[in-house]
Amino acid sequence: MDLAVVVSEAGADAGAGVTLARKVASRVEHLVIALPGGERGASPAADARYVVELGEDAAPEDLAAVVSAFAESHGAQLVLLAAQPIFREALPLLSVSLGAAAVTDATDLASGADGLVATRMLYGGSALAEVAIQRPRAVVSHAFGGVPADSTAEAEPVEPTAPSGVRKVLSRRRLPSEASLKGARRIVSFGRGVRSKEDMAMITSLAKALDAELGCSRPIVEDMRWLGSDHQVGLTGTTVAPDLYLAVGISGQIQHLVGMRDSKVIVAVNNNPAAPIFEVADIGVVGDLYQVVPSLLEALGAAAG
Amino acid sequence: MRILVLAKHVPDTTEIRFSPTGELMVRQAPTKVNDYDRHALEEASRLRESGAEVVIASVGPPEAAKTMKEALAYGADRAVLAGGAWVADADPEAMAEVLAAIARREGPFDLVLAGDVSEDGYNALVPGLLAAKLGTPYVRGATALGVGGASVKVTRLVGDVEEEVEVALPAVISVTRLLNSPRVISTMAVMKVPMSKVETVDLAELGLDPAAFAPGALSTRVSAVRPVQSKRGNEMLRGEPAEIAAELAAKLRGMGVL
Repeated sequence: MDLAVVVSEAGADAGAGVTLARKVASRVEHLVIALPGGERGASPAADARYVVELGEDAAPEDLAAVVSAFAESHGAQLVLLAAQPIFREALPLLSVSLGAAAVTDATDLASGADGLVATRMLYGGSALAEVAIQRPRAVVSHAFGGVPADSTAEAEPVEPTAPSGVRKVLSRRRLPSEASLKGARRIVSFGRGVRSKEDMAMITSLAKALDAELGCSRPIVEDMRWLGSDHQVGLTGTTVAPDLYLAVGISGQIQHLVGMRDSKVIVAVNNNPAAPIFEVADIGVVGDLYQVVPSLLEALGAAAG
Repeated sequence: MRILVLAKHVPDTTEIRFSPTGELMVRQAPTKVNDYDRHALEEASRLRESGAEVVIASVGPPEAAKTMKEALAYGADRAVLAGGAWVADADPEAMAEVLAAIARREGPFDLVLAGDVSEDGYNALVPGLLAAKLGTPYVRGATALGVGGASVKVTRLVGDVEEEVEVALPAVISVTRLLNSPRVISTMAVMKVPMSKVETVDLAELGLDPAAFAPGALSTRVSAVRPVQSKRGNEMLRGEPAEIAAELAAKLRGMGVL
């Protein structure tokens, strides 16, 4: 194809997005969404760079309108969006306004005999599907960004479209974040094997002893509500890749595995030898976590002391 | 107030297996109402208790009629299930097109509620596509909802920011699992729902052209599916907790991750 537009927020390195778009398009333009007067982000290897300023309260429908107008006027066949929340929300609106095919969370793109083919996960990550695009245009989201930015790079300004006024923002507040799983070097994560909220103390001690962040599986947040969603590892939580991921009492539902299977070393403790978590583990410990965790704390403490 | 709830019939993804020859065995997996949609059904049911009319819309195979009975047991007036041979290949865009036709035929609706994602495809596209097709506002990921006269206030998490936004009705709102705690539905409650509350419709009855839903005419088509395989060591430690713990600590030190 002739032209792909990569769209990302300022402050994020769009390198991985540009590289992916380059696989299927001969020309790649980068459209940066920036705060007025704010950071511009870097565009390594893009053929052209544009920046549009949108306020902090900018709505997904406003983002969709400006990207749609840009893609239309430049004649882009592919719009590749970073997978941040505002882009995810804007994606379906953008695809309808462009009459384009929509694919979320593509892990790869390729040019097939009949056009663009996107790869994405299916059935909670147990399968990879190849999705053939059967429209002249496609809007695709892909996880990229998050690397320090270069605020000095030149970019051609793009006029934002008039605000739609569809939504009124009544309040916004930054929640105190307890966990910073993203970028953590070590994570100790637990699931339903921990029987009561009080027993979490044992897991917290283990995390402390390992100088690790505390993570958990989906039921702990969504069903038990023992921890906030910033601790949740998995498809609907945070995707992590630490040096060490220690999963305690997590059976390994596929939606959890997807969120941690790129970790360097995975250790699983579970009393069920058939638990799916063992299939992705480097080291599996078959045993009762109520015995294994205190022993492990002792073994670690003894070494430290 | 009239509410449309989207509820999807999905396989239980924790039960999906590949055959030894690498074939995905979806048909053998048990099926259910998509967990995220249960929260939309619960919210609609609570609004129904203060007088709202609730209609459920779905796209699915014939077996989905049974799943619709379960969805109705949360407390809804009736369900419309669009089906036909085309469903097997339908992509999110096609599903949204059909759901939009249901919304127009059964409407007007003040509010459309749906789970933020479905557990099978995880596309998180249908609610937004439907809103765009209906020309209504769309807000994603509600953790709390306040429906007033002509507008709805939606609380949601955007990254680590909690935001409250207000949009005019009619609107499409997708909901998260933090919105509410869905009631427990007993087998008896599902059995008590008469099948006459589930209306099955085909494309022609919705005024849609079947040719537009042929596999080659859709916006996307899944051309291949393959299993994701793990390439890990899977070294298993068993025995006395104290011994395993010491062995594990030594191994982790050896790997340089402590």
